[in-house]
Amino acid sequence: MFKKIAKIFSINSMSRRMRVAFTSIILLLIFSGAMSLFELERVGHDTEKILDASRENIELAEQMITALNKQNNAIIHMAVMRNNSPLYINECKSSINELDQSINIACERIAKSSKESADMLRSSSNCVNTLAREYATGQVHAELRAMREIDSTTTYNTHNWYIDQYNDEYMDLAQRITNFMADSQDLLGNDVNQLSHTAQRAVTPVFISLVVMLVVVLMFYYFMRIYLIKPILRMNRSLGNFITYKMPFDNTIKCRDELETMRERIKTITEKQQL
Amino acid sequence: MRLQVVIRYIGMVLQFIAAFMLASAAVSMLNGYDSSYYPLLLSAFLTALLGIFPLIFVDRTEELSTKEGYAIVVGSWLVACVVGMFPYLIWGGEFSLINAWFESVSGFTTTGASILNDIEALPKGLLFWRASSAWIGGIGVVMFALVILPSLGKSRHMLSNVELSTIAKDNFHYRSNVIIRILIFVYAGLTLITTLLLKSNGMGWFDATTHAMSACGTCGFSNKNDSIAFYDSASIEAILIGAMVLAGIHFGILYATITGRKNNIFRSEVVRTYIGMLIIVSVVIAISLYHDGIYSSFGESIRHSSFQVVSYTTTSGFATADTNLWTPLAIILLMFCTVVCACAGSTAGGMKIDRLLIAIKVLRNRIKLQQHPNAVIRTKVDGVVQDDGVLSLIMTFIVAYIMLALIGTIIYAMFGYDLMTSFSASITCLSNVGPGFGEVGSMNNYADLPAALKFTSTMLMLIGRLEIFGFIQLFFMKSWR
Repeated sequence: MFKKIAKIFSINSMSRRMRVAFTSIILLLIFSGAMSLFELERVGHDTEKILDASRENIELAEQMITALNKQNNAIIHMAVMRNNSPLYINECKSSINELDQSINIACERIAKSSKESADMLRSSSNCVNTLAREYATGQVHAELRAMREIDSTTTYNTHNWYIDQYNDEYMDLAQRITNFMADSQDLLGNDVNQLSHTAQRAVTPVFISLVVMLVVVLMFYYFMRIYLIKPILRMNRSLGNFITYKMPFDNTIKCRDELETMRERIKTITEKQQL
Repeated sequence: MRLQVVIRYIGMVLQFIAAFMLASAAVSMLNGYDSSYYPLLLSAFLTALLGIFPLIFVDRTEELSTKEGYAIVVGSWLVACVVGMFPYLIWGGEFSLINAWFESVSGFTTTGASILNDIEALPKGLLFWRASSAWIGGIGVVMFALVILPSLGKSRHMLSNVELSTIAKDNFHYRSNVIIRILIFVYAGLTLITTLLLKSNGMGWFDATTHAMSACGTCGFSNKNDSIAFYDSASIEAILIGAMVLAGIHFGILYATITGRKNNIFRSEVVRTYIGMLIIVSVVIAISLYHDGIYSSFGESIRHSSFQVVSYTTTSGFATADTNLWTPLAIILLMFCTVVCACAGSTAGGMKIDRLLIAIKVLRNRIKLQQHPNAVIRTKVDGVVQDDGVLSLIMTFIVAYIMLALIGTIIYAMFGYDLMTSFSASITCLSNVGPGFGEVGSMNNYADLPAALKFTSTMLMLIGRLEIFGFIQLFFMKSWR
């Protein structure tokens, strides 16, 4: 059985051997090229994914900050500047919804990596939104009125409420949104590190293929030298010696394939010439 | 030396390795195309291409010179280790260039040392390839090539001269083509029986096969981070002890025992010494462990001590306990087992018990000769007189082994490792055992070693696997007549 397997690989023609060798090298070249393209595409796809995620995170943080600032601006106008225009009330109400939506998306995104951070962000946002809702629905005014009824000398007003209650929560949420940005970028940093690792790995198969190809080419050169170039050079020298000095053609030259036939023919010619 | 002939034979070895890579890819495929499928397939393709090339160009040769035989064996081993890295490197994970080289050399030399912190994270295809490299290494890369070699007779004999240690060769009384049959028959049979026994004792098919391959190759690669301790099963340990003990015996003697010949395991002085040593050391260690309260019962002490003694002596390196926590006496005895190892002609590495037995006899005869200067005293093993050339070679081997162990220790110490770690790592790599003591203990690994030390360790493994002189000769081939 093993002899049969060995027979499959035995090729008795130099031209066919050369063809097989060249085909192998070309196949390897195509293979390395295809591998490079495939791996580069994969790395490109991963890079795109990271950039998309980064852009989405920045947009999300921007949405949260915009909604928060919108709310803060409306509250300042109403509570500090005492401008209770319906425009600010509507702005405050709409900002509550916008903030809620963007916070929900942000929490979903970071919940996988840090559930604690997501809970803190949601809790902080709930506090700010609750205060804003209380102000927009007039609950804060009602509480202040109740306070004044109990103690008519009190000077506690919406300005104080803003400084004592809302501002602290606002600052806290703003800080948490900044943290979210930093955390999400840190997470992407891990992905980027992974990507550089992946890129390195992507090069490995190509590099191995190239090394294999180099070895194959070296072997090819070596076999060509011993099975083709060397015998031809020796036959040429021996033929030269025959023509110049009438020395007999060298019978010890070891050839195979078509070269063996050529050697035999040269030998026959030289022998005929000598006769 | 005809380099093209050497390349052709190495090409045949590469075909076998490629076949095992394909088998591993098939395992990966059966496990839902896990992440190792593509690396294994790619590696198989590249390895096969490398191997086919010389087969197309170079014609079959009937005769091989000794020099060519040496070059084929050493070259095959080195090339096998290089192509063995491909699946690891392409897969990635913990495998950097040096880590992949270390794991590959460790497998093919049947050392079983690992750089992996989390073996269980490896996909099944890659785990199978890891076990395959150990199995191929166990029987000898060249022995595989010989099975398919269409050339007969002398060339086979020439290769087995190099592959088997000189003592093993002298012990064989078979023709060289029978040697190959013995190795394959006993080795494959033992692996199959071990697999079936492990399966029937609670292991899954995959774990049973890989552990059997590893045990019969006396490699010690496990699929679990805690090695055999993971299973915590006395029956599994008993089966593995049996497999390791048998794999550590001269394969020719095993074959003779199976076929009912005279030179069987019951008559062999070397096997008697080997079994005797295993029993005595296991009992002494068990008493020491029980006395010092390491284990609460003597039964538990003997269970762990016997497993570890067999594991170290047969150069397997499986672990059921953290031997770093054992008594100094136990550690010293295990180190002795690491140096002495099992019988020549087996898959085990190290100094071999045959050499120790002969060295002791030479020493005894030397003392006798001093008492009776005119006496003619011969050294016999199993009733066969050993000639002076063999005795001289054995003593030289022992000296070379000690020197290499010391050089290894010095290199480790240069990197700031303590004496225990340095010495045990050095001898454990040289003897192809795997686990040592200290920072390279049975429950640790080689992951934290610097790259230079990992490379040094792999060189020690290769030198040890190729019986020291086989490797050294490679560098003196030009001046070799």
